[in-house]
Amino acid sequence: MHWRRILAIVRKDLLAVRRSRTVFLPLVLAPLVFFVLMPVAIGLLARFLPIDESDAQDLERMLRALPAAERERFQALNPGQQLAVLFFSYQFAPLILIVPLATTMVIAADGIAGERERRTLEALLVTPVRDVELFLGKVLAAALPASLVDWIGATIAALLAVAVSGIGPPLLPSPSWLILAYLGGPGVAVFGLSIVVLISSRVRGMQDVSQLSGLVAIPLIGLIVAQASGLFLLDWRLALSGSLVVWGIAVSLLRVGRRSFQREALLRLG
Amino acid sequence: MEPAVAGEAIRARTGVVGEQVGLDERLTAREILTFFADLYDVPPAVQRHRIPLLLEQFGLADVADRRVATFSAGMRQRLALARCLLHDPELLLLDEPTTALDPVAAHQVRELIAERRREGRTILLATHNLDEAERLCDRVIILERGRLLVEGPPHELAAALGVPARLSLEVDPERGAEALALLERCGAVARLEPEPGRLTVERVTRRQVPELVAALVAGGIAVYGVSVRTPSLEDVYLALHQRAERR
Repeated sequence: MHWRRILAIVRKDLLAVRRSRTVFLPLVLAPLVFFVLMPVAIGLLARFLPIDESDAQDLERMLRALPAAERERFQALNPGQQLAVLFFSYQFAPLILIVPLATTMVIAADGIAGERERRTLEALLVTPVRDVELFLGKVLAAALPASLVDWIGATIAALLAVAVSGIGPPLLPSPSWLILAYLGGPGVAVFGLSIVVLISSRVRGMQDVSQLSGLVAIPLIGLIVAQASGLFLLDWRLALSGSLVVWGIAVSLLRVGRRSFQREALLRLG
Repeated sequence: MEPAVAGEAIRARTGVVGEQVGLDERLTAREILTFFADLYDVPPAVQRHRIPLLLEQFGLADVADRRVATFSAGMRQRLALARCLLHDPELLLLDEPTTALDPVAAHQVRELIAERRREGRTILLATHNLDEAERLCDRVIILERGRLLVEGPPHELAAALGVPARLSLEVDPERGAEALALLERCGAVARLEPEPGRLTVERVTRRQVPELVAALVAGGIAVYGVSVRTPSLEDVYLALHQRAERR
């Protein structure tokens, strides 16, 4: 294994992404929305949102989905703060997973399907680089920045939410939020990446990859809807087990993707 | 070496430029060369002098830090050629390197290939441009539908295959028609050119040339100029193609 080749691929892919406005802009906008605007808005909600009688009843219904031990912690908060904690730490928590998912998929689609679309893949495949080195280079180029953006963004989001709302842990951020942000985020990133690898070995262009990979975000939306309907709320046990399951699926899919990532197959499609 | 087993080793000793140059337009020429130098395991110390040298040799030093998106087709092709020389390969595989280039750019690229040839490198050039093949190659292989038609040095192919030459004659302008009749009586396939006194004789062998000139002189026709145009690779190819069609 030649790590210099792998690092060269990582460096080149990231440099190319940074130079491409259409690829880079979404990578900046998504963290801005989910890691800056959303925590600030929720923090302001805790301070200034008036809660009337019917809102309080809805709030009560949503709190009932929490385990008793976690519910007790809410007693010390006013209704606005309770709503803010519910939104930030539970209901909208899965939204932060969109950032690592989108980041990894955009970079991987540009690096794999985009390489074919720009007709630059053949020049890569005639170099001595091995299939596994090319695969690792492409995977790291997408997964590393996605995880870094997730970790740094989540830290900024938590600090902003605490500073604006005046509430602190373990309510905001909650253990389940922390697990999702720091363990689930990279897991979702690797999951999205493995999907792009699998799709990219079968389709020609970035547009095909984008269309198919959009489906990956559907389970996250389902999670948010399920919580909003009061079906359940993500406590730390669910967040931990869910994150580990995602990691397990992601690694398995990535291994399948590695097997389909063969230069002959890539050239045939090109 | 068996490509299926030693693919990596073979690729490390080979430089390839495909019909598509395969350059990421978002990167600069220097960035592309540095990236590929890393993929070809060129040590950083060697990269430091080889990359500027190649940029200089291929006329790209002034635009080394400009993005490839701003490059002309000729500049891209030169950059692709520079890229395939980064690791000092023993064998160069060039697929239609001058296709889609304007005449000036194509000439520059041919000059660069000729220089590499003079350096003693082995170059396998795939081209539909027979004039290019004739000018650049020591040996040619002509394939038709994947079948080998002929192989050898381009200047020897015509003689080996018996492809006839063309003879141009300049005679007394007053006696052009007379010269034509005399040549035809000798069995030559000749025609008068628009310019007075000029004749062309098709499909002549080397042996026929002095015989035809002697016949003209013996007929009292003054001969001012004789030029034999040896068959080009294109003539060879067309002759081979016609033979294949007849079969």
